[in-house]
Amino acid sequence: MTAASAPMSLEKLRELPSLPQVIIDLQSAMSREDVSIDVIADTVSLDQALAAKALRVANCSFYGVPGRVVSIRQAIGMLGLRSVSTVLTIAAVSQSVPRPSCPGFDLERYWRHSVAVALCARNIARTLRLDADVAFTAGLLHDLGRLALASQAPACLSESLRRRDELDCTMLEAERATLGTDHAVLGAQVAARWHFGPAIVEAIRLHHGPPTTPQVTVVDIVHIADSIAHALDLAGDPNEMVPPLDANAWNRTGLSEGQALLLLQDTESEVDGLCEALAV
Amino acid sequence: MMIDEVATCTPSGNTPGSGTVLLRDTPAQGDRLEWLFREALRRQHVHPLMELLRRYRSQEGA
Repeated sequence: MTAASAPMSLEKLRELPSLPQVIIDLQSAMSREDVSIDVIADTVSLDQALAAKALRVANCSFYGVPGRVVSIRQAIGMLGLRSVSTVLTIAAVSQSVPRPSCPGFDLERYWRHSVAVALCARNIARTLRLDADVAFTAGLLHDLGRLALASQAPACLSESLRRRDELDCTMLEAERATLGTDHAVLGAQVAARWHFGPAIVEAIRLHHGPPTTPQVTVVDIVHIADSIAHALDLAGDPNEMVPPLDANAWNRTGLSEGQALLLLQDTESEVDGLCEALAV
Repeated sequence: MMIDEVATCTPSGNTPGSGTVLLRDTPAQGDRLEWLFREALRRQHVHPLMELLRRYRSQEGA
């Protein structure tokens, strides 16, 4: 596998199935003021596998819902449309991407890291009074390109992993050298094809290199959350490495040391519960 | 908590400039936290999160 031979393998990423229509509808509905919970609940209920997953998660202790949630309408009422949407998005992504069989790629570690970044991004956004749901979804999907590679072009990812281990470099460097592109670019392409909003697509594409902006953005938040999740060593990867952190992105958040320490604590304490709830 | 873009440091207990070999080859014997930040240590950059993590872990252990 070389950078020259990689493009043909990467074409396979285009063969990833679409997300279920209900998820696309949900993504679209979330950005509207006039969204009807009844319509969403009815739509979700038509997809039995997704509905069952949403109900199972709604009944897990992570969400702390008293009593038993038995319908999607009730789940939306108790957890909120955005939380249910998040649960459904995870279920849909894990269903839509064929289970990878790629030497060196550990699906459980992949999801643990993604969930950690999602939680940390949500906590940063809440601290800064920004949209926590967009931050959560962007964090959850930030490495989507790596999952897509593992599933559709395992030889490409495997060669990148081999190169990373051999040179002990960052995965981003290994991917660029091996494939001539990287998981951030590829993940953004998949997310755009799956109709995720522009803020989420940009956060995926730029999470390793946030651009200079006057104010803090979702890109900054996911970039920082990614570093924090690696630094907390939550995925259980023996070759874990904290990627470089953009000082300007950090400074734009204006986080105090106390707030930063609290972020570490909250993220670390929430990961196990959410991973268990999502069965990832 | 503002941070500088670039500063320099060396891994504790290592001779300046020798971090690459020590951190690459003996992760199990070294400090796991330094192992996680080996890329920054190798480049002799201070990773802004490294000290924060140290304080967080020491606060946890207190």
